[in-house]
Amino acid sequence: MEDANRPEIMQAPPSLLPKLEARLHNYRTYLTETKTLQDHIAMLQHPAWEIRSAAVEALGRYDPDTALEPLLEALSDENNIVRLTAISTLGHMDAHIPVDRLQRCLNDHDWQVREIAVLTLGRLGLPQTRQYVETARSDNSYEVRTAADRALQEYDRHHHQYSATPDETIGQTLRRTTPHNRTERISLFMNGTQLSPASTDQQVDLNSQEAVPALPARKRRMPLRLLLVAATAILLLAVLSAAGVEYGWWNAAFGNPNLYQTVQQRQTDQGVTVVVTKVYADEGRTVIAYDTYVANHDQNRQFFPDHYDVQGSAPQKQEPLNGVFGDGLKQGVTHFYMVLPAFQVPAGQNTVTITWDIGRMIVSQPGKNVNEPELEGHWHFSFTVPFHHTNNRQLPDPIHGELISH
Amino acid sequence: MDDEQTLLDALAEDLDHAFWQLATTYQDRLYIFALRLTGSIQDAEDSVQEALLGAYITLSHYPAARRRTLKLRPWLYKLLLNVVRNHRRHKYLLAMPLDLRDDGQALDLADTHKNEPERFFEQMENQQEMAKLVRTLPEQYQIVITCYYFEDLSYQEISELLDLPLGTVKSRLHRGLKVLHQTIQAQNRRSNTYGRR
Repeated sequence: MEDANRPEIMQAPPSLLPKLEARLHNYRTYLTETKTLQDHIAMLQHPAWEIRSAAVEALGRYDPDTALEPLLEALSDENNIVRLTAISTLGHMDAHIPVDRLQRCLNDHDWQVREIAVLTLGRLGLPQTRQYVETARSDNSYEVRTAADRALQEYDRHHHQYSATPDETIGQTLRRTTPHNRTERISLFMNGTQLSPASTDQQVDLNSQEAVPALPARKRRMPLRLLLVAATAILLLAVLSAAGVEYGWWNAAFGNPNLYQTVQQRQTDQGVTVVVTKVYADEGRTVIAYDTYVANHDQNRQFFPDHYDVQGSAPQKQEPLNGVFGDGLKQGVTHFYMVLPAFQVPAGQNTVTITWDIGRMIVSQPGKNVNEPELEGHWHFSFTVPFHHTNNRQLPDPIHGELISH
Repeated sequence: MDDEQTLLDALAEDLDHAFWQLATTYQDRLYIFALRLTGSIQDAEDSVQEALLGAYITLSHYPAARRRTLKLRPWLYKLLLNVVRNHRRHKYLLAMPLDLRDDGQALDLADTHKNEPERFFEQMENQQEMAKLVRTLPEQYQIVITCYYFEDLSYQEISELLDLPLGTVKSRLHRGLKVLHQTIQAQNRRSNTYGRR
């Protein structure tokens, strides 16, 4: 009989907290014990991760010239808590901060590590890392996104501090606050990297305006010519789609112009193209039809959106009506439709704008038990379609015209 | 809610003292959650211990402002899930299929919504038996179903807990229930067959 099925188990065993207390005691005691640098470095191989974490923290008290290397190695520890401790510790090493290594931690597979990396970079407020923290605002993890918002506030705070002294350059401000590490700090700004001998080789005139790069411009204006080209391309695509070129024929053949709105939006990423072909929205359901295929129309592989998010201009009903249905692979294309809960569009409005973001594709070989690697990417769609103020229970599916039953 | 904010404020001001209050308050909930996921008393205890120790060290690296704004329960659940997943990977080296690919991602035009597995789930009298069956599901379905039906978390809470978009949470719940239903049907067929022998 499995443990979880025993009816008496409704609370934690009495041994849980004492064991936790013992481990916590070992961790805290380690931090207060007197040990040599070599002891701490040796402890980075300790089997208990909390001891490795304590050793990392203790290394932060040593001269960066000797403690930096072992701390950088700890960024690759198998345990996430050890890695995040290393980030936090490295973030307090003043001019020796290995900014490039901290930036790389934003790609760690563990959300806790990414979160601490974002918070640390935010606390430092270095202008050249701002763009990386901004990228973290679209991280998969809610905590990392929240931390990125918080970190950007820190950046703004730093920026305001600099702006408060307009007659001084940022370089001059830094020189005043950290006189001993001036060259190193400027070099850090210039290279965005660890203060290795190579990076300090770059000599900079600290009095010149070029000593410190300007803060990154927030927006770049798109040249008019580029806009014209994009508009022409969109127009051309629209004309081609309307003429039934490529997969438009599928819509024309099976679509019901009175019900489904033709969309024909396509996005390609990781070599996989997704085409949102048509959409229907009413008070009972939302149906999105789409195709997936690759450029060579591979006959052996199908692509399924797995990690996706659908949002609308109106709130969506909270109900578990949700299904993805598809056809077999035909000429390298798979036709799908998904049924989603309805959007609650107010009576006066006759359209709804829907955005669909796909973050991951599952790849499958029909008839074969082969697991292919998933494809991470971004396929973004946004379309406005008519909203029918009715609950059409006789809706035909957009592929074969058979009744969709719920 | 007020209690939670008081605890958060205490964590921001005196972590060492307040952490024990956190551990005492949440140990049972975390343990039962871990037990539902692992099915083993020992693994559940180890996982909660690891998660709480990790929580202490993580909190010690958070700025006080961050500690004050934590959503404690989902945050602790998230730490625990991390531990359980890592534990599984290390201990069992599970070669768990990511999805029932041969099942075609619910590519079942013929199999529409007739079975209504949600209702089926709710009608199950023996929740413990159901919990046992849920643990046989692939991890991605098991966790979503456990969170929704056993922990009473909302779609939004599960979405934040698992860092998945709402749409994915709903579809995994739907698919997971479907697989569960198929498992139960297969089990019933087997028991009927054995019963006739």
